[in-house]
Amino acid sequence: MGQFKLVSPYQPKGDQPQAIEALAKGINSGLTAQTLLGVTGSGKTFTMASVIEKVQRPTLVIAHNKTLAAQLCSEFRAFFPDSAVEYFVSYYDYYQPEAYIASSDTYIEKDASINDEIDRLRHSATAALRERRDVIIVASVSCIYSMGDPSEYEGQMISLRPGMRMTPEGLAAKLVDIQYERNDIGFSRGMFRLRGDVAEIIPAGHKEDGVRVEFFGDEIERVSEFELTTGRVQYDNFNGYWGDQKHLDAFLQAYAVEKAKIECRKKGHTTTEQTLADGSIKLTVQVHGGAQ
Amino acid sequence: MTQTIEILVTRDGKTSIQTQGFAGSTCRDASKFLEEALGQRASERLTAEFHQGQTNHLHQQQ
Repeated sequence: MGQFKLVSPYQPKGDQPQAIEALAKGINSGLTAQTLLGVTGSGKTFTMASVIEKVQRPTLVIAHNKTLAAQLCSEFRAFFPDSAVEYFVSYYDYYQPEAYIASSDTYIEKDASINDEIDRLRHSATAALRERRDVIIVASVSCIYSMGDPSEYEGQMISLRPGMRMTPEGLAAKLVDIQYERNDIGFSRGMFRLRGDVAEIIPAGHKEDGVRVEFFGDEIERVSEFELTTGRVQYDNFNGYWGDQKHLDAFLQAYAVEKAKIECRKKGHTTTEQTLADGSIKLTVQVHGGAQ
Repeated sequence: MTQTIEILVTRDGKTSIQTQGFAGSTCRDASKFLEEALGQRASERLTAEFHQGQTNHLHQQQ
């Protein structure tokens, strides 16, 4: 499960450590409301980011308008690059409620235009809450109008695992049930396409990548993520069968280090190994005899 | 000047190689065995020293 890890070149200063300590203590003791007062530029956002890191709980940040929410969202994204920081605001670009003006006997029909990109971000935010615990949702007041009951949202999920018994047609039927549209030519968000034994889906919360499901007979053989533009498989750990991506990365790093050391030893060079603060490993090779 | 090769392996296994103290394009030959061992080259950046006597340049690999 993900953990909040604050990334910042600064340390809390002045009154900040005290404020962080008191706010975190208040949250953990069950206080429902606390107020942090500070003038502009005093580091209130940074203080709150520190509190989030301290209490390690999913967080909802409400801003009073979309622009401020977007600004806060990018600030929190910079503070927590490894966590899910999502943006949840009203997706209406334009909204005209139904109205009647009695004096001129005019009826105005309800009219609205929905911003597709914001709709995608809302789906992404909702999905993140289902998938992990290190989630910060930065929202406008729109968040009080929910996207429905969480259990209903969960009921709209399709679980896909290698080895599962399912046919491509069965998957297509399930996708149609949860409002996905089949489109083999114009392929975009919330759609899927089916070609032979391969189904490709672009989940409602995604933009740049899709999910590819490969079947063998009536069984799912493989599930992978791919880049929409290039079609390249981005990441495939065989749905966890090959372990966590973190472990795969650690394995790759260890492999590269050992391989380099072996090659240097073969050439008669000496190597010194040093682990850096960011987890990278630096190998310094002293070249003996030169390579010229 | 001593001749050294610095290899940096990031947490996700990406490697970059920097050579120091080699004259002209010989650094390429010096680090070639490592490049071959560590996989496909993604980019190469020549430093100003490459065009002078002493060279120092970077290869990035994945």
